[in-house]
Amino acid sequence: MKKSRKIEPYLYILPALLYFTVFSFYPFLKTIGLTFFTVNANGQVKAFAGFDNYIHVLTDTAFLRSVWNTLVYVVLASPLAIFIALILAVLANKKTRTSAVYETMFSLTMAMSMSVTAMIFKIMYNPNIGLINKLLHVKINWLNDPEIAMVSVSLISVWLNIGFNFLFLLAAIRGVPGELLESANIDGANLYQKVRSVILPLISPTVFFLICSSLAKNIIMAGLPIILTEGGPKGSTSTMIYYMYKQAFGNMSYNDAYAAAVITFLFTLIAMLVSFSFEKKGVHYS
Amino acid sequence: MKKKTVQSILYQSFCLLIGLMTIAPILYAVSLSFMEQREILTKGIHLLPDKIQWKNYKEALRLTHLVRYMLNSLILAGGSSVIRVAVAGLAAFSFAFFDFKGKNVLFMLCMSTMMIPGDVVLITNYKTVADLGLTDTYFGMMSMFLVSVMNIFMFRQYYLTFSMEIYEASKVDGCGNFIFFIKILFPLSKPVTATVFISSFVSTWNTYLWPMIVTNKDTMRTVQVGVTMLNSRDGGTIYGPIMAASVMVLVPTVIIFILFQKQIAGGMMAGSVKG
Amino acid sequence: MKKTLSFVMAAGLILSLGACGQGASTKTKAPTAAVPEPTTAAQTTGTPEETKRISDKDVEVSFWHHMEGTNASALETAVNHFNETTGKEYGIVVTPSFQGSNTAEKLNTLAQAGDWKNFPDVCQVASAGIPAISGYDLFVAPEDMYAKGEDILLPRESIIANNARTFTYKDKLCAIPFSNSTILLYYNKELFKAAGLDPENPPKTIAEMADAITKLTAKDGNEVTTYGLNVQVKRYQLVNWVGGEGDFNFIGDNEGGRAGLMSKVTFGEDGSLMTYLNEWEKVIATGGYKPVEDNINEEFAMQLSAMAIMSSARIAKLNDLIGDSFEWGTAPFPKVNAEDKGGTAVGGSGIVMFDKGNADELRASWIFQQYLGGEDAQYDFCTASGYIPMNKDLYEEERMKTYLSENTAMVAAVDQLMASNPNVQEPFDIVTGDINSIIDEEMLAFAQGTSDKQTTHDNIVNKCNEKLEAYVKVNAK
Repeated sequence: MKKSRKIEPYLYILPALLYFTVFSFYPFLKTIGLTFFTVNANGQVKAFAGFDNYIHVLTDTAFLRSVWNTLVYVVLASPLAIFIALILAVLANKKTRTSAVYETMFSLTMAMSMSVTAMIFKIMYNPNIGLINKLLHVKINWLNDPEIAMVSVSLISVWLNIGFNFLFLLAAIRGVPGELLESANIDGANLYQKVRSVILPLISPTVFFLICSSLAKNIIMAGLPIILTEGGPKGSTSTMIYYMYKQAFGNMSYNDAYAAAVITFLFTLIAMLVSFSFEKKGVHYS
Repeated sequence: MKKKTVQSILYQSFCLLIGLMTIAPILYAVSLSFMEQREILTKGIHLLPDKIQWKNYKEALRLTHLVRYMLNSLILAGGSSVIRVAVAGLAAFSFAFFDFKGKNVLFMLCMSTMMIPGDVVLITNYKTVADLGLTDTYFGMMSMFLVSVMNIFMFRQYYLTFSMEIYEASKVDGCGNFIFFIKILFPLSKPVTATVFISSFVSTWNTYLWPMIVTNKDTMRTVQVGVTMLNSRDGGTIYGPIMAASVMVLVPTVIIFILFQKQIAGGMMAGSVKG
Repeated sequence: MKKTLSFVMAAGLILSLGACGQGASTKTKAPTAAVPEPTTAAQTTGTPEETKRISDKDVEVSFWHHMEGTNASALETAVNHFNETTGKEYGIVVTPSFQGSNTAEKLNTLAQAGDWKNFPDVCQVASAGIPAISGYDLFVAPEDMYAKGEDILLPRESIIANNARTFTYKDKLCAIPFSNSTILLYYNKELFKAAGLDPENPPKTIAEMADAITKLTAKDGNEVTTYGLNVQVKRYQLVNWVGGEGDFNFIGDNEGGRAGLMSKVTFGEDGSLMTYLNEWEKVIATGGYKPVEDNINEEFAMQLSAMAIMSSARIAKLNDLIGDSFEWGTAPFPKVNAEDKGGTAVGGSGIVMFDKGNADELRASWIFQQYLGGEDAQYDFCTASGYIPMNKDLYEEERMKTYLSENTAMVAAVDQLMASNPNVQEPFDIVTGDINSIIDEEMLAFAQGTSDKQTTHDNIVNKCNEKLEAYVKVNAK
């Protein structure tokens, strides 16, 4: 690649950049500005507050618990959804007569909306009449036991994301040149070795994309607690952005809400920077 | 030869079985949509409806204008997805094929939009859109979904694996950058374009809050709003009609899937193109 | 050509309007003096006979609501009925539109963005939204319209006092009550019989309920197969119990937020919370009480719980779910103490209206707003949805009597509402979300034995006050 001092590359980014400026940077910078002020329930600025809002949020046990919950959720949901999707993609790699059918099945979960999924899982999770307990012959209170509610929520998210991850991984694996796999076959490599030493390095750009996007998506997740659990039981499913949502819309406290949003943003940014620092080391572009 | 056929059949059956397991919750929803109220509420395991009856579907269609909402969602999801593909493809082209000052900063800046929760910028964005006079319009509904950095990222990851030789060769042939993008890169990127299109179509199809905030008329409602219209906050969930509506809403996305399946299934690209 | 013509005409219209100044502005507050209409040919040649029509052209009124499912069709029926009857007389056309389950949230977004022109003329809101909405510049209180005395279709006295009080803020009636409900005890008559309890004599107090729970609970070894009672005590349930103690109880200062900003809870200092917890302890001790709600309707319908405490708005739903599989009934919400006289609060939504600067529209909105509280609309809507009519006169009518005789489950709801003290209400506590989760969390810990009575009491009082204090600090004038 040549260093180009021309205006051309900027022109290609311009539409996206303009759009982001209007609908992301400007409103978010405004929000960051407001976190240093006291804002009343009507969104009007009342007084300068310095770091008070941040201190208040960071000393609020409910928020700290939300940070922990978010961490649990991300650690559970992100890798699992990618791992399962990877297995499915390896499975679907070989083209057969019915390929199209099971490929569609594997990717179909991404077509589901969160609200409908939440409703389906709510009835399946029901401890008394739900399918899951009946089939497993257990009596687990999936959504109302503080110890496992977050796990139950994470499982829904894993299921929802399998399809999306699968679609990308399949496309990537199909791109692995056949000769490479054949030569691995000749070398007598088993499936695990093939995946580990041939497929994974070649699909690393896609895996990297999935890791980054699922980190970002999952750290700012609030939909499932909003629809399904209201952050309960005992605050065990309240994520950082759910906390923000509740403060803004349930309590009319924009001070806590905005500060929580900015703190969450910083968390995500750190996670993203860490991921990108691995990009040079672990990701192989052709 | 025979052994191979048997093996293949077994393999396919296994894949289909896993596939059925993956979509089990969806199948359960389909099954619920045909059940009568009393069948849903049984103490034993009741997986299939006693008989197929369309009551729930009729009820869902009676209570909401679902067909109209589907049309709205189709315009919303189709329109914004096309724009997304165009804008993201172009931006990714720049990020992947050029080296310029501030590239990494600009890319991280774009990436940062992925970390901003939608709820926090909602009010300001509403003000922007309302000031532009776009309330109650399809464009206003689309405005929040026109560009996604996720899509730029998807394209970038793909383009980065694209053979540089072809790019250089096309330059030697006197091909300008933009021509290269339009004539060579974009056509050769069908799988990723299809993936981006499907994923953005589905995510826009499923949005709820924004389309409802920027429109004030019932005729502008989208499918997800339609589904929740069947819910009842005071009375709890009525499963039959909601599941029926959810299944109907799912059909167009499944069709989109099947339509684009071929593109994705074709694989990223032929090995020969690889550098 | 056509364009030029219409442009010229529009220009002429603007010039003629310019003479009367205020006509074109949409932002002016409450321009209730009639704006002179630009004279048109139709008006001068119009029939001299008396007409109720507001204007020659139909006045369009936009109406936002949050009704879903069958309730939404019940509401649309009522609106269509208006358009065909009263609306036709006055020349009003109402267009309803669904705005999600929380209209107040959408209004808030518009208000903060300063987008007043997209405000609806008339809007259905949950009672909790009243303090915020009454602060909008465009807001017009029914109280003020009644004071003016024009176009009165729904006499102020026809609104049941309890329902009116629900929507009263700072001494003003801020909304016409619309879809109202009250909290009830649902019980399974067959399980009552089987347990040797009188199915026609359900428990009246918490203590009696605890006794019944003991008898109704069925166990298989150590595992409960049928719970005596299912209810998750959150804000809604707790304020009903505490609010009904004695004659009535305000829950918080400033009449529970109805006279001004609520700055603290009072159920700690006046002992009413402790009185309730003392009784509630008996329910917990039975071991047959299920303190979390998974799918409360369905579980009651499947006879997995013998009693449940829920809003009366669910009667229709339970009718659907249960069908004729067993006999069940509703009873008044069990009191904390036998001598309590307060009763229960009114829940649900009311109708508010906004003045968008057009006098005709304002008149039309007021007429429609009242219509929704009138006998016809309330009858149409409530019998189809299972809400309790808020119109006193309707109960005198034969059709309502017939309906109640056919829907016995509704009778307990109506009787309880009428017998309650109007001062028993859910408080306007603003930080409703936080208060709800505080109560939910603490009461659950109490029920599960991880927190004792005193700790539960102190935590609820202190945590609620902390949240209220923080809110007042930022928002007090």
